Amino acid sequence: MTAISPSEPIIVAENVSKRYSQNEQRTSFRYEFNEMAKRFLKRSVGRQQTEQFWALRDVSFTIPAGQTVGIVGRNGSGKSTLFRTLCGITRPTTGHVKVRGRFSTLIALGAGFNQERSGRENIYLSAAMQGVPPRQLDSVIHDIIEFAELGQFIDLPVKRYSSGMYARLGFSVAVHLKPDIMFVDEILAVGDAAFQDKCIERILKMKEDGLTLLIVTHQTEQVKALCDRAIWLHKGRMMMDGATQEVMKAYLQMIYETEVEPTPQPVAGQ
Amino acid sequence: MVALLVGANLVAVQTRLKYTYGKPLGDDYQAHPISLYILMLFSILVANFIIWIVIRVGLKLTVAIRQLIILWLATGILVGLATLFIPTLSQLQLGYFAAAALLFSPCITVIPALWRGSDGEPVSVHLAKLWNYRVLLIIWLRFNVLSRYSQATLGIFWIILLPLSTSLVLAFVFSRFLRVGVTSEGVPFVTFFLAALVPWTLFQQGITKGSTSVFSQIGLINQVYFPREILVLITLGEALVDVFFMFLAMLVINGVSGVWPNWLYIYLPMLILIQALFMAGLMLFLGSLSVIVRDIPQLIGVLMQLLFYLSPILYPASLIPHRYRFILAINPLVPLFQAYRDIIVYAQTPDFATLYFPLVVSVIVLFMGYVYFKSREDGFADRL
Repeated sequence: MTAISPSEPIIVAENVSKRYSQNEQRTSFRYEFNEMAKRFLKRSVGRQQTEQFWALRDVSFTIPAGQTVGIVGRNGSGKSTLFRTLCGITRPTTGHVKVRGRFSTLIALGAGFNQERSGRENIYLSAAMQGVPPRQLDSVIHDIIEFAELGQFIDLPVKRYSSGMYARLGFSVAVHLKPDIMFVDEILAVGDAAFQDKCIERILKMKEDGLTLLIVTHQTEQVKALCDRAIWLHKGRMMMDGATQEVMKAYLQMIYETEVEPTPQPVAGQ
Repeated sequence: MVALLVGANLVAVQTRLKYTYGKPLGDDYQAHPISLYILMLFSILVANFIIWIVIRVGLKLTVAIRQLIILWLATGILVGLATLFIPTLSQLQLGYFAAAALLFSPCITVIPALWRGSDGEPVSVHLAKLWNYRVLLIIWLRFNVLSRYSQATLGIFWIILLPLSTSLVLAFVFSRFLRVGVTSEGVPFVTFFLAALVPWTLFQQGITKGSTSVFSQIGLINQVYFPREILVLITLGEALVDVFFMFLAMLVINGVSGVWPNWLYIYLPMLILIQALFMAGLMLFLGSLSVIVRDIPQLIGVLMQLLFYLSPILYPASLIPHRYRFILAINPLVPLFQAYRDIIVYAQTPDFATLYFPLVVSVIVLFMGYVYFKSREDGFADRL
């Protein structure tokens, strides 16, 4: 873990907005050619005739190192888009994202594994994909295999693995790379109940060691148990940002008691 | 910026047109005094400096000055050194080199230094990011090469057997059945053909696979962050590895025909480098374009067929009537194939002056391909 002073924010999001337009999904040669011609001629684009959809709208927050933040919201509220933006998978349409330090993602476990290669080799591949060179792995490789409970299966090609084994290996690699930040999207569906407990235990231990954690989950009990702070997103806007208890109370109230659409309130500081 | 690049390109083409192909080195080629090199180096630096001043003052851009100066010096010295290693060079060729270098070096130093990505970072930051992921590139490449053959009974030997058998079949068909009207200039046809077929296979494999390299990894792009260029570079690496084994197979076949490796093979890495730069540029461009235009891979298949017969692979360049030589002159692969052939088949020093055109085109294509790729990179996850 690189030395990062706890006082400085480790994640900063400033007025992050993400727009998806119908146009962007379109794949026609004529469209692309027109775009190229427009850019070449530096002509301003004429009328906007596209369907636009804002997945995120003016989301701003700062997260200090070591905090555990839960992100809650209903389906389609922009939680995953926010994660993808923070990880650098997509870039926000407007606004800035700044993430310091190295991060691991527990979004898609085992993404990028080479099916033909063994579990052991894929540990190195997966680590390299998260920016960790092989020589840093030598000391933890045994822990990774042990934690994943793979035993002698570690030298089998991963295409022979069950989905549980696959996910356990992915999880194990991610948590053993000593990241500064971890993005967790509905992780705790990995393996059986015993393994899930082990995962939570592991995450709690990493939290003690100063890990910054961002969690997306629909399991409200988990948010209450793990998080110091919660951010509530609704239709791409930030509804509330504060202590877990208060945010969760308001959020649950909205979900269960009112069928009325809440109007997004401007967040303090905007 | 684009105008300057196009201008450089056009000048190179114009100069290139004045040259005839496959011309062996004659008696008029002579060594020249060292002072010319120094003069040339000096003029490159001066020209760069002037262009840089103009751009810097004119556009008031903040540039990492130190970086730029190092880049200049590096290019100047590299060009100078490269010329030093060329054994025989006429005054005419040297003049050509100097004029070309003047135009060329700002293209590869000043302009990229002024470029900014969509996140406002200069090219050095992007390349540093890529450098940090070099381990991923190596591991990924190794696994891809290994796993392609690990299921087969003969395993890794297929890497050698496959190109060997392909080369043999092609060589046999073309040397025994289809020799109609094709002259191979007094050398075994197999050797003549393979010397150009091997680099052609590298080109064709790289471009064909490169155009699908990005969108075939939809899942990964949507889930994990890494510099997306890696996807393209892996494909290039795979093509290079495959063709290296094909090259070995070629050496065996050549040995059977009585053509042995010679010391001029030390020039081959240079040729391969030029070709790899050209391919990388094209692959970056096509890889990112095919995310949006999915017909690109099909189109490439057709274009590759066309290009195969338009390039002097099956036949010597001298067979083309003078009226149609311009087709060869605008094809940057032709001088490369000619040089491969000069080295492997005729064991003679290639005509270095003709290699300038592919080099310029390669660097320009690489730069433009990279810029296009980078401008499109952010959209990959949203579009796929």
